[in-house]
Amino acid sequence: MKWSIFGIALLIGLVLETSMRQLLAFHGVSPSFTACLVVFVALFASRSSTLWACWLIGVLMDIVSAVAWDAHGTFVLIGPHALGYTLAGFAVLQIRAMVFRRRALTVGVLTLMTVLLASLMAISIFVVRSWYTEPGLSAYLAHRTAMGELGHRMGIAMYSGLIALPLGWVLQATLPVWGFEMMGPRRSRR
Amino acid sequence: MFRRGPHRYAAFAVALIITSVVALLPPSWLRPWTNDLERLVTFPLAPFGHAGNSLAGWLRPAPDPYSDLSPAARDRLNQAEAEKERFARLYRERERRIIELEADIAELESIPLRQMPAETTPLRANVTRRTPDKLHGVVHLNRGESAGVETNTVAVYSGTHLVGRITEVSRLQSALLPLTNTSTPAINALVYPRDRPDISPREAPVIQLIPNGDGTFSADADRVDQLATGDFVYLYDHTWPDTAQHLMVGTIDTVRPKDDAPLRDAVVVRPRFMVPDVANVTLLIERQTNSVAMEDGA
Repeated sequence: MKWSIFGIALLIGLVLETSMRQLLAFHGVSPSFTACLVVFVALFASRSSTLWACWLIGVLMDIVSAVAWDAHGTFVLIGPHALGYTLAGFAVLQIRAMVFRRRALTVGVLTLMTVLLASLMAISIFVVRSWYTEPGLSAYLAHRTAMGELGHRMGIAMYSGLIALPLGWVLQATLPVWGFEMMGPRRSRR
Repeated sequence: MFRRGPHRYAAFAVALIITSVVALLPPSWLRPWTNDLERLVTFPLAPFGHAGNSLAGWLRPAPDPYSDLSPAARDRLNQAEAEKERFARLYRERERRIIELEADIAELESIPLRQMPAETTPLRANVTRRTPDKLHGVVHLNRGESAGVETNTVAVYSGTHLVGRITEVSRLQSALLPLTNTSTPAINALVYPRDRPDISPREAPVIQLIPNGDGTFSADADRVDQLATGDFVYLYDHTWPDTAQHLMVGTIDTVRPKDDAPLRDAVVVRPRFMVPDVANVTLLIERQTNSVAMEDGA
């Protein structure tokens, strides 16, 4: 994988996440663009490149997701996205040999799974942290309870899966410039 | 980082272990370095984020209740409303001052007058970055200490609509905690009836607003206060700066009886403008005039 191309895609993904994402919000739920990038990289890049790329995307997502803590200001918690995306990337690596990689639908379904896995990891970290250190659980969540947050993130997962259909198609169109080491196409036969 | 060989996963395993440990550290251990890391990493992102947020604001402008009117009539109505809010706020601020003075009058001879901000300077700030997973999460603005922004500086939209306050400031950027974020502590507010908005703050019922996380606030109110849909809700909370007092929080969206408390109502308040809807805000920078305050004290 060409890391320069990955860097450009990551920059675009982060800008979309931190600016355009709210534009697509529907009843408080908005899609994740970086999750789609995680899936795309995990489908085509080599094993070690995938793991590093997912970790890097997650670390940067953590850095731009400051946690507000009442009157104490904000702090950056590195880990929830980094570990969540790494877990999701690893899961995609395990099943990528069984799916039609060049189908936009594949990217859509796997993006849904990625957001769910990353959310489970993030919420688990938040719950564990809230047992022994401040701030309370609600500081990390968009909703006040872990179950409410899980429902909210399921909405995000489904919305991200839908957005990943056209986005996955666009990313697939750029495949030749990525320089992936393993380009063995696995297409559905018509 | 990306080397090949028998130990190519060893470096990744170390990175993963360090990330896991960092993810569980208390905030006091994280703040000194992760916030600096954030500033360093996000600084080059700011111009792109600003452009993206401006584009998003252009594609989906903030809600305009007068959109069905002609542009001239809309401008006149907006101006009239802003003027009305400004004068109403001045009136209420004076009333608040009178209430304070009445309560403290016996002690005023021995205690210097409390220093009040003599001047507020509005400062336009653009949103450069939003929190990805939270619609009402922290947003970052392109104004920092160099522009006079401080912690607790108040942010408004459309003149008098309170949208949040600054929680973190660096030299060139600042972090704005939206009013609707669940981390915002409970807010005391006064309710003015829609049909009698000119009543004195003494008569206006006080409610305590708690952000729900979906952009609305919930509160309990005595049924005798007879709150109704459309009533105006203004901040009246001394944990907030003076510049925030009597700024509009929103209007009452629903009022329904509480099943478990027959004499109380459950109220939902909805702001007219929220941080997710806007691409820029106005910061109210306090300029303290120490010389005047010292003369008053003397």
